Amino acid sequence: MRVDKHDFDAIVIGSGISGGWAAKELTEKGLKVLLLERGRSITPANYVGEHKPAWQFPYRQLGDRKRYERDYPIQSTCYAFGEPTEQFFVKDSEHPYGQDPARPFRWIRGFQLGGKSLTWGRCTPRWGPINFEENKQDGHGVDWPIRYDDIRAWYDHVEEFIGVSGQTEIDSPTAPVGRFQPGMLMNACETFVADRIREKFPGRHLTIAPSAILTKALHGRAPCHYCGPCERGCSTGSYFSSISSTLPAARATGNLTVVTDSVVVGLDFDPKSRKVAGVRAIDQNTRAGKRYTARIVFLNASTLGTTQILLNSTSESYPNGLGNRSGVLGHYLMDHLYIDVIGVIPGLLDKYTIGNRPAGLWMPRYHNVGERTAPFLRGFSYQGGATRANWTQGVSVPGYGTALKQHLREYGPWSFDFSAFLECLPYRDNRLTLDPVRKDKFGLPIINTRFEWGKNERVIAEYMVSDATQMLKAAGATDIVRTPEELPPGGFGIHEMGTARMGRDPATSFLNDHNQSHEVANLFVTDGSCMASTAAQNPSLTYMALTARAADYAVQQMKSGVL
Amino acid sequence: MKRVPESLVPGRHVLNRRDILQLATMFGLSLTLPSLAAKAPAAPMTDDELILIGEVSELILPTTDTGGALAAGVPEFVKMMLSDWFSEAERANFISGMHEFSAGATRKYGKKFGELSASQKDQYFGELLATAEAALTSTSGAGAGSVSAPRTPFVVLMKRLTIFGYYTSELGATSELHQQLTSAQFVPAAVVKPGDRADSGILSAMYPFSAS
Repeated sequence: MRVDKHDFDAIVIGSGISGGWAAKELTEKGLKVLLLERGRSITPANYVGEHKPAWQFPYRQLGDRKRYERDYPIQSTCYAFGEPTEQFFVKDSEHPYGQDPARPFRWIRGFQLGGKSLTWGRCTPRWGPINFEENKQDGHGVDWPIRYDDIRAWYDHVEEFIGVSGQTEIDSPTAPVGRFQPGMLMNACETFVADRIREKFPGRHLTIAPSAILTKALHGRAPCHYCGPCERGCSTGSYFSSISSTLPAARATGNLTVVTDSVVVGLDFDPKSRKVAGVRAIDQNTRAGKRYTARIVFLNASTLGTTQILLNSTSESYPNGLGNRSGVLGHYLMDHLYIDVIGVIPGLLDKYTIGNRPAGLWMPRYHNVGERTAPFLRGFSYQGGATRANWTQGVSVPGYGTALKQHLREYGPWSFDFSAFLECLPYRDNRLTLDPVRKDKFGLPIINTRFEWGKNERVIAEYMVSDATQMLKAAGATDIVRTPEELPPGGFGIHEMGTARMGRDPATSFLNDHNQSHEVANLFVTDGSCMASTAAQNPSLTYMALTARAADYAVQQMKSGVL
Repeated sequence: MKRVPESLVPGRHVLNRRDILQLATMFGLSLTLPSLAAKAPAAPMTDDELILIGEVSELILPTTDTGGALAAGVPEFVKMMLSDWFSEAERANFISGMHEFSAGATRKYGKKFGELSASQKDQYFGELLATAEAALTSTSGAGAGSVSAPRTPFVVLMKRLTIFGYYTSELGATSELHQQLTSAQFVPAAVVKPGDRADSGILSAMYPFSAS
């Protein structure tokens, strides 16, 4: 299939969750693939924080606060950021972007081979049929150009390859059961809470979450050893990352070329063929420029990163960004609003857990499924889990001395944490633009962001807090608190989606039903920027399924001579 | 086997400078002798102050059947946090609180804190902590100060620092508590009896710390 005038059959830009999948699928289908990654190379030898106890860190895991304030003011707000993991986050000081001060957006980034797949949350629910239908039903956002039946087989394909552990007893229209390995187990308190909820709130099912963490060996990867903090990296490859899963598979084909430290600054458009003619990149260390060519290009540079590259790829044909005849590129930025509600569960003091389970619990969306049950559009899902207090409760235990020490020697009470994720509607004014003046050190115009929650999100947020409070009370909880008190800024959910959305109409969307540019035939975008809505489920599994589906289509088109 | 200074044996509360320096040597800490400290530029704490920190931390988490704050190197941890981690304002609040703590002991007992009897130290610190904790509970909970104007009392800061420094130390996490870095299994409803040591959870979470 190799055509001599091109350097490669395909170029994949970005090596995170979706880019790794593009590289795997395209190489396995016989294409010679160049994978460009803007950050440094990563191997399991770089998991320097793995299994390292607190006292071996200079700041006992608190990290160098002054350096964090200077270099990581935004990244350090991420729950997974810390002294054991800081090497997997970008320095904000070196990679600036703009925020509307009144409408801030927190952009969490990991510039390295594997991208954010190293630090992601690993919760992988499927989207259900209604998640692809509601845009059309309620008129918010453009109609998804696909339905659940179009992606179902690709979910199967992805789950079987990455290894998803999860429960299979309870199927839900907002979290269909997939091809799961055995699920991890719920602890004594979680089972107790789930039972109380089932008694009082029929239809609300609290189960172990589908998670991309192995409970059985798969493709040379070992089952989880329950150390806990996956985001430090896993030398046994037990959770899915590009490093543990897709990139080894792509390399095994002999068809993969990886170039790291290569920052893509733009795509060249050829008006005659109406295709991407080349990819321009700069070496982040030497600043040497290089141009690569291929028959097709998969853009997987992360939601905001992909759109930044497209907006910066201007030509006479597309002065507002490559393929952006519609003007939607950069608009309809979305995220999941995320609030915790935590309560203390009395009793069960003779039970504890051995091992640190890295999968949480999951309660699929139950509002407005089938029938309207609440006065807002769409809904929310919950994640969460129960843990017993340990020494960290010490600052709130009065007193000192032998009594304090004895108190902190034993486990404290159970607490249960509901983390609610709500669906965010697409709004045109939530957007990113290129700064007309400021450029980064590679000459790429920096991104300016503007993001605010709409009225529907504000209404849902109160419901998800009050529903969680009621369920905690049903389990006898005391000391119920909500955090944060105010709505968090956008980006806090780290589920940024949209800005190059799929749709049926080229006038209102950027990509077609196969994640292919409506305008530029050999350009595919399969990361979070393609999303036309957010649902209330974690999105990464859907990115992977869309990527595999688009790769299959692209190769068919190449074989049939269309591309 | 390393010999624990007699004053750190359970039931004994008297600490002197020799004990602390001996402990420092035992646990590989780098406390400086007065002659060396005099040369150190802008040291955040004098040796006397470091000894005070040691005595207060040992009051908070004393030696029992396991080592206490001193054995776990809490004074060194406090010194590091104060010089490298605290903001200027937080450090000033801590230092002035520490000076007031010392001066208060002298006012009340006519002696320096370090020269008080064990029961006097216990009484003096205990009353201050109880008063401070009652005030925190009645106002805004744990974080009484703000980033710009930290005002958490010295005794409360010392309690936070001691707890954090102790349980994130190897001694605290593995001898006082139980540590399981990788269990290779997950047991969801294991049985725990009164008196069993909790898991330190030293890998599984990152703990917030406030100095304001």
